[in-house]
Amino acid sequence: MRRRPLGEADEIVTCLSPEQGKLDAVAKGSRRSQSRLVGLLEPFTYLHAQLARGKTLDPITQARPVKTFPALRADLERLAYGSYLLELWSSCLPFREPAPRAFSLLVQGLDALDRGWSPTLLCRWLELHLLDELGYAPDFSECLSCGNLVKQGWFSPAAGQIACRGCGPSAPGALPVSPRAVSAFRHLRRMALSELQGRAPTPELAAELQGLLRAHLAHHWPHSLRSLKVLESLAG
Amino acid sequence: MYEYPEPIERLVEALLKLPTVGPKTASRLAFHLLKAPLEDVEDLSRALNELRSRMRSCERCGNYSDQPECSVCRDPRRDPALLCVVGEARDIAALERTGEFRGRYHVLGGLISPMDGIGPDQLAITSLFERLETEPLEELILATNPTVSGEATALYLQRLLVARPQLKVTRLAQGLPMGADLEYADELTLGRALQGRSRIS
Repeated sequence: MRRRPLGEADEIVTCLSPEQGKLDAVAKGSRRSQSRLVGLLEPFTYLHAQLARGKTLDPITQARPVKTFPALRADLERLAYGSYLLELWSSCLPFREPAPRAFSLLVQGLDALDRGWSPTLLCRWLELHLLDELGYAPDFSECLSCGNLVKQGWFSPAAGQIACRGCGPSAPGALPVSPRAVSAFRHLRRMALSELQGRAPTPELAAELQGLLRAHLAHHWPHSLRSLKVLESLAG
Repeated sequence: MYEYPEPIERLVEALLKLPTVGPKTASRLAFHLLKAPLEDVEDLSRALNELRSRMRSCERCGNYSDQPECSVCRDPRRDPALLCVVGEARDIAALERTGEFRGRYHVLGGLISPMDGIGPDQLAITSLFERLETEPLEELILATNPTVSGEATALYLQRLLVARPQLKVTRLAQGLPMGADLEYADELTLGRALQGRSRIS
C-alpha cells in the first residue's frame, strides 16, 4: 500500500495480507537497482510474498506478482480512485489483525477499477462493505428513536443510524436523507459486486450517497485522506 | 533520566529531523563535531547557512542554482531542441553523470501521487508548456521514475502533449540494469525489458 525509505538502501513497505492484516515489513536493499524486489513493491501490486520473523519489522525474503492492475496505473482518474481505496483501507484497518474479507474487498475493488468500471457506485459499495466488515456499517433502515422502518429522514453520523421524519434530527450534524438514497443504500448492502456493473446513479443521488458515507467515515476516522484532495481537484 | 548539556541536546534534536538519522546517529554526529577541529565545524556551519541563503530555483528549469539561471540553462553548447523532464532537481545530477545527454532539463518539482495529496496542479506543468511555446524544441524526453507515480506523471503529460504532433515525445527505456542476471530479474522488470526490446540488426 505504501513504501518509505529506511536507511541507505532499505524500505519499509506497508502491506495488507489476508492472514496478517495490515503490516509493515522491511525490504532489504530494495532501493538498489539490482534488487529482485525493486519492481514488485510499488503500491497496487498483489503479491505472493514470504516474510521472515524479524526483531522489530519482518523482512520480505521472496515475492512474486499475482496482479499488477496495469490499466488502473495508466489512467490518472482510476489511479486517484485506487489511491483513495488504498488510503481508506490503510487508515481504517488496525495493524496485525487478520483481515481476509477486507483484503478480498480491496482486491475486487482494484480489479473492477482496472477493468474500467465506473468508480462512483463502486466506491460507495466498497465503503459500505468495508464498514460492514469493521462493524461500523451505517443503518439506513430503522429509525434510531421509534424503531419504525424509515423511507426518508435524517442520518446522524455519530449514531451511524437514520431517524425518521417524525422523530426529526436528533443529533447536531444530522444530514437529510432522500427516499432514493435510503433505497440505494439498502440495495447496495444486499448487492454482489458483479451486480454493480453498468448501473449509474443520477449525479444528485451519487453526490448524496457520497456525502452521507464520507460524513460517516469522517466521524469514525477523522483524519482527512490526502487522496481525496487530488480526487476533488481532478473533478473540479 | 540523564540529559546532555543544552547545546548538545539542541544539536541532537536538530539532527534528528534529518532523513535516515535516528537518536544514536544524531548523538554520534554531535559528539564528533564536539571533538572535530574548530575550522571544520565553522566550514560546516558556513556551508549550511550559504546553502539556504544562496541557493534558489533556476527561473527557467527549476534546477537548483546560485544564479537566476542554472549552469545547464546558461551553457550555450547545450542543444536547445532537446528537453528532458524530470521529477526532482536531484535527478538532473544522475542524468548528467552519464555524460550522454546534451540537451536541457525541466524539473516538475515532484510526481503525481494521490496518496501524498500531490495532483497535477502541484507540479510545474504550466511552466513546461510555456517553454514549449517559447523554445525551439523538437524532442521532449519524459525521464520520470519507473514507479507508479512516475508512470502516472509521464502518462498525464503524454496525453496533454498529444495536441502537439510536431513534437517528438520519448520515454526513458525500462528494463534490466547492467550486470543483472535474467534468472533473478523480477517478472515486471523482465516483462518491460521484453516489451521495450530494440532491434540490433
